[in-house]
Amino acid sequence: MALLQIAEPGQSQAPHQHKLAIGIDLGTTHSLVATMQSGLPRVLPAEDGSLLLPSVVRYLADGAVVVGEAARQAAASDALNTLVSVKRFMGRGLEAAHQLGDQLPYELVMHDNGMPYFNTIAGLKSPVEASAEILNVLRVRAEAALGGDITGAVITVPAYFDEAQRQATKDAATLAGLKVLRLLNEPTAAAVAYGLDQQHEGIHAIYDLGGGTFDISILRLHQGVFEVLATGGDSALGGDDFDHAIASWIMAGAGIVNPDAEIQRRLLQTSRRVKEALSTRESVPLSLAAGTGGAPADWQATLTREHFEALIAARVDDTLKACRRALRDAGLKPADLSEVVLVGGSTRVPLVRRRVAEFFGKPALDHLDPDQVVAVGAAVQANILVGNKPDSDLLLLDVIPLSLGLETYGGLVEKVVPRNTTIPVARAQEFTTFKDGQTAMSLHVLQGEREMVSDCRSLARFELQGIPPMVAGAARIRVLFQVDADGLLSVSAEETTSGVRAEIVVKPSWGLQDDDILRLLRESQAAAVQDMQARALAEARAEAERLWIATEAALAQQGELLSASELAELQAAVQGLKALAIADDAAAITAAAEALNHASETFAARRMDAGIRQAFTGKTLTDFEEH
Amino acid sequence: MNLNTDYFSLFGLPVVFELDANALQPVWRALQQQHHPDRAPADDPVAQRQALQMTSHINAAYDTLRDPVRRARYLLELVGQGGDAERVSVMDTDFLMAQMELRESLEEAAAVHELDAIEAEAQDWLDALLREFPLDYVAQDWPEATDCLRKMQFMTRLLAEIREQRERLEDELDDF
Repeated sequence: MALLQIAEPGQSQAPHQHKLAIGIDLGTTHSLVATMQSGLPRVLPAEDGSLLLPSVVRYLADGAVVVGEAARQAAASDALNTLVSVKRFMGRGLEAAHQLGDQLPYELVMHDNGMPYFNTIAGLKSPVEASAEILNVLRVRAEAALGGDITGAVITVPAYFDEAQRQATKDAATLAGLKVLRLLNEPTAAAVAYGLDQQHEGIHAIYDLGGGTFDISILRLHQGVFEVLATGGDSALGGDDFDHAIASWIMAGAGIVNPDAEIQRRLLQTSRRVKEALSTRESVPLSLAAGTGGAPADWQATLTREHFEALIAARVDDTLKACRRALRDAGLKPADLSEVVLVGGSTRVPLVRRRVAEFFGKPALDHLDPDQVVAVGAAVQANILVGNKPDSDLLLLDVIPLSLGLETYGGLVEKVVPRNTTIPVARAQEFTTFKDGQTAMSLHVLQGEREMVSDCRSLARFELQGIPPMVAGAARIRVLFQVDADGLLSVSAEETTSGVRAEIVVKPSWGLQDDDILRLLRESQAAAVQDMQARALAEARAEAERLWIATEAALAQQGELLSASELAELQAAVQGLKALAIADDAAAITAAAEALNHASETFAARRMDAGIRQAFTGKTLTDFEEH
Repeated sequence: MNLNTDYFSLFGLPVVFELDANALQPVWRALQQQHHPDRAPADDPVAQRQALQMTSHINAAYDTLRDPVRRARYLLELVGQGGDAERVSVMDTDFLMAQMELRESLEEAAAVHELDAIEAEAQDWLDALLREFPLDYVAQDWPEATDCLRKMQFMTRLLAEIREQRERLEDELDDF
């Protein structure tokens, strides 16, 4: 029955040609890369053997970038230039980014393109650029381990990521020089890893609580087909929030107000360790000396597991609400599920495990490393997508997490593709003109479940022009939404009686156009030069100031060592340097400083002689030898 | 098979209202296995585009066939009777009264258990309409079939609203 002839992916290749494909879990807290070797998944280690790359990016003054553990260790001491949990900012506007918490130790700047940028010592950096740095390290790691160029990568995203967040992730991968085979939802990837481990048929719930995102996916697994029945979650809820809860508790207890960036980071790092300790211990003692972190007095307290659980109970309940909604969307009851699988580091928290087991009425599975399953699942799919396993039955059928729609009259949203629709999907909706003789129609594409435009995420606006003038209501505008297998949307509109068309691939307002990515690469190099110049000037000024202050102090102390003309010459050099320091010429300032250094050589020599004479006075040779 | 193949033929079914909903899923899976973009070469944009369009068509067919109201609407579209269902309003006053009463009780419902009764009544209405539709359709009584479809769409919307209300109430209650 096939009219379309579609070649099997493997057919055109030589039988033994194995293409290098990787799966990347780009996580909030840490990231991993995995591949398939001899039919088995393997998480690729760094040179030091570590598998998890902390998702931390530090920008240095000289433009160098440090990623991973070394950057993580500087997170507190160099908070403003060290970006942690950058995934939480992906594809989000400035307002949404600020909603992530009032304790963000960053300087966020609104860019012209509507995206928030981090103001670092190396210039403005977008979340996409920072993520690209992480992906780049993983790409290099994979190339070194596999000994060749990577054909393509499957990058995982939270199932609940919206269009803008997905697009931002894809842009980051492109920026890192990776060919993206597919954006794969994290819970689906985890299900693949589990399905691969044991041939489990039936309906499964994947509860994935990471550092900064939460997903719940309900999947049916049947003969290699993973069909997502429903998904839900919160792309700004994760273990980070537990850390913040503990940090707030410490701040309240110790009386810390308005902590600076470094103190915030240290508090969060401490909170994180306390959280991890409470997974195995019943209580953790804490103490803070007066003055540390701005604490007004000595403070000692014990955080019990029970109290910690009370602090985070509401957030855990939020995850269960999302579970209930997903089950309802799938038309299922907890009893219909064969298994519940725990994914993500934050499922190590005992309260999470207990509540999930209670809600679903069955113990949760966690026999695979919750940190690694997502990368492993991504590697399995990458291997298939590059054509290394042409006879595989594995097929992943995912859904869109949030409804897609259009703005209609009165600021209302008309849903065109409801949430949990299997992708790829194409849906058309007809609209008509509102006024007599109307020749253009403005289309506003939105994502979300709410009825009002203002409550949904604005994805794109475009215009259909050249509609032949007709009476109101006579034109037939057919708007087609097409969502591809990555969950990315394109929208086209056509006036069907005349055939006038307009089309747009939805690049959310704060996403990057392909041209932008190239421009960004060039600009970031230019900006680095500019930043270097600014830094050179600041350094020259600081050095000049240090020099004239030292000279003036020495003159006040020991000016009598100089003759009148020598003194005048030196004072002139100081004034010359002070005058130049106001100008923006780093080279001139440095030259004037050199001149002052030169002019003070005689003075310095005489001071040294005088100093040595003074030191010898009243001391015997023996005293000196003993020293 | 191509993008113009009707949904029933795509799934190898006769063009009738009644079908075995459980039989759809294996066919859908098999169609996906054959036509999904993952089955086309990753570096062939033409094959990828064709696969995207074909699977979108298959998914649209599956979504339409497995939902009885969407299926009814599609059957009327196939015989050129689909357009009126959106534009003409229901004239049956008994139905309209019943609908309004259900909506009123929905607005007043403050507890989850109150929703159960409203939902059951709306579901009864829908079930009765689903029994009526195939009779009208087989008799080719298009005005009656269209009227029946409009009523089904009313009830479907109402059921969706009941569901949303239930979600809101449950989220407020925080009971797990």
